Amino acid sequence: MVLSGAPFLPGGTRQAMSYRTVVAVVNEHSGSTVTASYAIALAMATKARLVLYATHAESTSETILHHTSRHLDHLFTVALNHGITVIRINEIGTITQLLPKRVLAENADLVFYPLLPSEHYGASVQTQNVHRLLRTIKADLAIMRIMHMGKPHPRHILVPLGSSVADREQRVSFLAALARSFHARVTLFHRHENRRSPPPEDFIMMRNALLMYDLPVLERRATGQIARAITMEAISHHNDLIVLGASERGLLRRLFFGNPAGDVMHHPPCNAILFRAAPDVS
Amino acid sequence: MKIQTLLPDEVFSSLLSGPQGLTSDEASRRLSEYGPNEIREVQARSLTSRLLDQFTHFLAILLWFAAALCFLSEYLHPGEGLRRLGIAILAVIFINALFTFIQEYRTEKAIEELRKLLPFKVAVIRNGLEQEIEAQTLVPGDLITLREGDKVPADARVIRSNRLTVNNAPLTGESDSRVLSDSPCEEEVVDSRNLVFAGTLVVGGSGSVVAYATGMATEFGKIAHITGKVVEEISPLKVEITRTTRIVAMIAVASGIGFFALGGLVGRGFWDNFLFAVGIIIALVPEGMLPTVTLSLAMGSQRMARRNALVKSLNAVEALGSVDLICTDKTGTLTQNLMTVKQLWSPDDVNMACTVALLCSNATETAHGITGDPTETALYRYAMERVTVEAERLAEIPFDADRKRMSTLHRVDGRLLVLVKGAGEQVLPLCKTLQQDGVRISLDRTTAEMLAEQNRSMAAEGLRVIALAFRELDVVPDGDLPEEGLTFAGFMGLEDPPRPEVPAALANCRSAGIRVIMITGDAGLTAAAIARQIGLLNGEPVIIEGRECATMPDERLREELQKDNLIFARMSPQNKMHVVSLLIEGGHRVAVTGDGVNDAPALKKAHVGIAMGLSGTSVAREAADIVLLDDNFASIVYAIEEGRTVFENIRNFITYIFASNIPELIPYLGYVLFNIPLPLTIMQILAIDLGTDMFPALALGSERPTPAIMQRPPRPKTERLLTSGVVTRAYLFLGMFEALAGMTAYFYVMRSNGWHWPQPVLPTTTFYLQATTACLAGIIVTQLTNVFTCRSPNVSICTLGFSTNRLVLVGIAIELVLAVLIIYTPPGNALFGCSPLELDVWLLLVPFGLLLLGADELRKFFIRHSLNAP
Repeated sequence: MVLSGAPFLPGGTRQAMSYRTVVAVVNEHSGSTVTASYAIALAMATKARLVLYATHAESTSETILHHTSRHLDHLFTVALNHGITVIRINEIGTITQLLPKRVLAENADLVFYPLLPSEHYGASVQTQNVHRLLRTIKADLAIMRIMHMGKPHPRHILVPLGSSVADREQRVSFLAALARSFHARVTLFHRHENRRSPPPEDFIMMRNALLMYDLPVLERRATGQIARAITMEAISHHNDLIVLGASERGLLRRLFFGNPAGDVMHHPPCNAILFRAAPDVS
Repeated sequence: MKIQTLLPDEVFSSLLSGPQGLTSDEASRRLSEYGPNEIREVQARSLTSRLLDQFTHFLAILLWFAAALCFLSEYLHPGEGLRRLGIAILAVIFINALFTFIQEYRTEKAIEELRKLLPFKVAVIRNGLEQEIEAQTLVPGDLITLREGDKVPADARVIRSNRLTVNNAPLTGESDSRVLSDSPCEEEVVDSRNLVFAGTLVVGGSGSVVAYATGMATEFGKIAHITGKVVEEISPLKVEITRTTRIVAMIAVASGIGFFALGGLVGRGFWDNFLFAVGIIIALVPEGMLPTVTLSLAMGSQRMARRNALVKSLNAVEALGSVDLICTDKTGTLTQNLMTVKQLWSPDDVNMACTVALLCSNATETAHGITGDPTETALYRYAMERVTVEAERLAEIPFDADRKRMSTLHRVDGRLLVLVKGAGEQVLPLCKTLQQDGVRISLDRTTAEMLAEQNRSMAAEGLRVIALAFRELDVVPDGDLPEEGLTFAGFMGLEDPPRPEVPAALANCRSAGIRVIMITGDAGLTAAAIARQIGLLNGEPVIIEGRECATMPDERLREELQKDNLIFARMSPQNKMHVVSLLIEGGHRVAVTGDGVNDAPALKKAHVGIAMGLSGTSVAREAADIVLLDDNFASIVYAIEEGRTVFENIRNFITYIFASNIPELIPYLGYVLFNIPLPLTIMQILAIDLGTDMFPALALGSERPTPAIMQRPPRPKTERLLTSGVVTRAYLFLGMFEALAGMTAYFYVMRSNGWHWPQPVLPTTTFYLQATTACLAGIIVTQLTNVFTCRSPNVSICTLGFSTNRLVLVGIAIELVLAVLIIYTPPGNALFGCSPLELDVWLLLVPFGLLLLGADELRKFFIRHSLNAP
C-alpha cells in the first residue's frame, strides 16, 4: 500500500497527502451514514474517488434492503453534489468475504467501516466481522463507532498515544488528512506516571510530524487508568472525535492487562475511530 | 459542518428524518442502534463486590486463615477450646468488615438524581402523527414537540420556534432563560440559540425540535459519564488506616511466626505452639480499631452537622481537616445571595427610574415577602420604598439571556409607556434622549459617552449595573413593542453583599495555612471587588477567565496556580474540573464547593466535595461528601477545625488502643520463654480489645478542638497517623507499665495460692482462673488512668482538667460495668474464663494506675520543656 506522498511545500510545511480511492461501508443503520459522511469529507479534501459499498445476504429482509438502499441514494447524492467521483456497489454475500476482494479490485487505500451495534472490538474472543476485516483488509482501515449523529464534522480530534506508536507514518497521514478535511484541531494525549517526566519519543515524533502539516496541535497528559483518562479528557475538553490506534496486544496480554482501545471503542463519549494501517506497509 | 449551522431542511437531511418524523420501523431500528434514551452508570461496581472486598483484604485473609487453623485443630484435638476461639476470630472478621463497609458505603445517587431530570413521556411526531411515547424510546432523528413546562428529553436542534424559551440552568448554571430560534448560528454548542439540551426546562412558548443525541451521548449524559468515571481521591485517613492496619498485621504475623519457631526450639508441642502463635497474632492485632475509628468519625460528623455541615461520607470528616486549599464559589457562599440596590444614578429626579424598576418587573409581593428573580426583587424592593404607582400592564417582552433586557407596555395615569430595563450595553444604544430637570434633551455623542462612562465606573466598583429607560406612545402598538427611541431614566447598581462572618473565616484560613481560590461564573471585576471587600486579596488580583483557562497549556496554568490573589472568573464547570485536577496533581489536598448539575464531576474529583444545601441541585448534593446546610463559607472553616481535631483524636485513641497490646503480648512471652502457665487467655484479650477498651477510646474521639488547632499549617502529606513517636509511647512506655501491672497481679494471685515456678497448673483450677483474671484486671485498671494520659500527647491532664470531657467519664463508667460483668457474673466468667477477685488484688493494682499517670505527666513535662527550650 503506497500513499501518494506528502511532499514538502516551500517553508517546510508538508502538503496534505491524498488517498486515491476511499471505500465507505454502508448498511441499514443510520450510523453508517455518519461514517460515510466522514469518508465523503475526506474524499472531497483529498480529491479521492469514493466507493459507497454495501453487502447483504440473500435472505435479507425487504425493510433492511430498503433502508440500505435509501442510505446509499442519500450518500450518493451528497457525494455527487460535492463534486466527488463516486460509485455505489451493492453485492450479495458476506461482508467478510466480499469486502477484502472489493478493496483489492477497486485498488482502494482507505476503508471506513461502521461498527454494528452488536460488534465489540475489544471482545476477548475476536471472531466478529470487525476482527476478521482487521485481519483481511489490505488497505488502511478506519473502524468507526458512532455515538452522535449531530456532529458529522469533528472540530476537536483527540488522539491518544501509547509509549510507542506503530505505523507512525500512516497514522500521521490519516490524521493530517482527517484534520485538514474538517479544519479540526488535533490534541495528542498520553498517560504519564510522573508530571516531570518527558513525553515518550514516539509522541514527540508524532507531534513534529503533524506540525509539518501545519496543523494546530495541542498536547495533553493525564494520569491513571488510560481508558478512563481518555474518556475524561474527551468530555472535559469538548473533543468530538477520538482516533485510536488498533491494539497490538495479544490474547494473553489482553486478558491480563486489558484492552484500553477496546474499552474506549465500546463506550466512547463521542464518535470514535480505530485506525489500522494497511498491513503490507507496516 | 455543525448541526447548529444548518438550515432546518439540511438538519432533516443530515439526521435522515423529515417533517413527518421517523417511521415506527425506523425508530425501532435506531433504538437498537443507539440504545435507550437514558442516563446510566458506566461500569459501576456492585454492592456485593464492594462488600466482598471487606472480607478479602490482607488482614481479613490472615484472620480467615487463623480461624480455619483453629477449627482444624479443634477437629484434630477436640476439647482444647479452639472452636470457641475460631468463632471469636470469625466474629472479629465480620465486625470489622461490617464497620468498614458502613464507613465506605455510599450509594452512587448522583447518577440517579441526573436520571430524575429527564422526563418520562415525550410528544413526538412519528409516521406523520403526534403521539406520546416513553422518553426512553426516543431516538436520534425523532421530531419532538415542546411546550411550556416540558422537560427536554434529548439534545435537539430547533426546527420551528414559537418564542420557544428554555432555561439551561440545570446544565450551565446560568439562571437566565433564552428565547430560541430556528435560524442557523455559528456559536459553540452550549451557546447556540437553536439547540435544546436534555434535562433543561421549557419555560415559555412552544416549538418543534429534532433529536440529534440521546442518552449518554447528550451533554447531560456526558456529565453522568464523567461523574461515573471520576476516580474519587482516596481520603488521607483511609490511606493511613490501611497503612497502619498493614503494618500492625505484618508485625503480628511476623511475631506469631517468630515465636512459633522459638517455641519449637524450646521443645513445646506443635498444638501448644500453634495456640501460642494465634494468641500472639490476636494480641497484636487491634481488633477494636476500625469500629472505634468509624464511630469516632460518626461523632465528628454529628458535631459538624451542628455547625451546618452535613457529612455524607465519614472519611470526609478527617479529609476536610487535612485540606490546604479551598476552591470556593462566590455567590451565596462568600456573599449573601441577596441582591440589594447600592447606588441609583439618574440625570433627573429618581421617580421615573424607580417607576421603570417597579413596573418593568416580574417580582411579586406575596404573604412571604417579595418573590422572584434576585435582581428583580432587589430593584422592586428599592423602588417600592420610593414611589407608589397605579398601572396596568398591557404587554411584555420577557428577559432573555441573548437580548439581556426586558420590556413592558404599561398604562400609567392615562399615559401609555414602554418601560425597558436591562444591561447598560444593551439599553444605552436604544436611548435617543434623556430627561434632565423635567426637560427631555437629545443624546449627543458627548452625553452618550458620559452615560457609558458612568456605566463603566459603577461596574468597576463591583456593582451589577441595570439601565432603566422608557418611551411614551400614543396608541397601543399592533406588533412587537417598539424598543428604540427610548428616554434614559437612570442606572441602578446592585450588589450582593458579602456574608459578615466571611472575613473572619478567611483570616482563620490564613492562620491555618489554608489557601482560598475563588472560582466563579461571574465577571472578573465583580469577583475582584467582592474579594477585596472580604479580605481575600492581598494585592492586585490575578484574574483568569474561563476561555483563557480552557486554552492555556497545562504547564502555564500550573505556574499561574502558584500565584497569590488568584481569581478564576467566567468559569464553566468543565474549567473548574480541570483546575481542580491540576491542583490535586500538584499535591494539594483540595476542597471544592459547587451547586450545579455540571459541578458534580469536580465535587467527586476533589478530596472533599462540598455542595450547597440551600441553592444546590440534588445532583450536586449527591455527588458531594459534605452538604452545607446554610451555604456559608464560614461553616466550611468550622468544619475544617472539627476535621483537624478528629485526626488528633484518632491518633490519641490509637495510642490508647495500642498501649494495651503490650500487656496482652507479654503474658505469651512468659508462657513460651519461661514456661509459666498462660497468664492471659485469648478470650480475655478479646474482652479488652472489643469490650472494655472501646468506650474510653470512643470518648477520646470526642475531644473538643483546642484553640491552637487553627493556628498551625495543615498536616504535611508525609505526616503519618502511626508515627514512631506514637508507637514508642504506646508500646515501649505506656504498654510496659500496663504489662507490669498485669503480670504483678497475676504472680501475686499465683504465689498467694502457693504456686512455685515451674509447677504446672490445670487450666480449670480456681486460683489459676483468678490469676488470669487478675492479669486482665491489671490491664483494665491501668487503661482507666491511661485514658486520661491519652487525651493529649503533651498537654498535662491538670491543664486539660479531669472532667472537661464528660464522655471520658462515661466511658470509664461503662468500662467498669463491663469489667464487673466479666469478673463477677457467672455468664461473664463462663465466656471469658474468669473468676471473681478479692479486694486485695484491686488495691494492689491502684498504685500501678497512678504510677502510669504520674510517669506520663513527667514525660509530658520534659517534652513541653524541650519544646519551649531555645
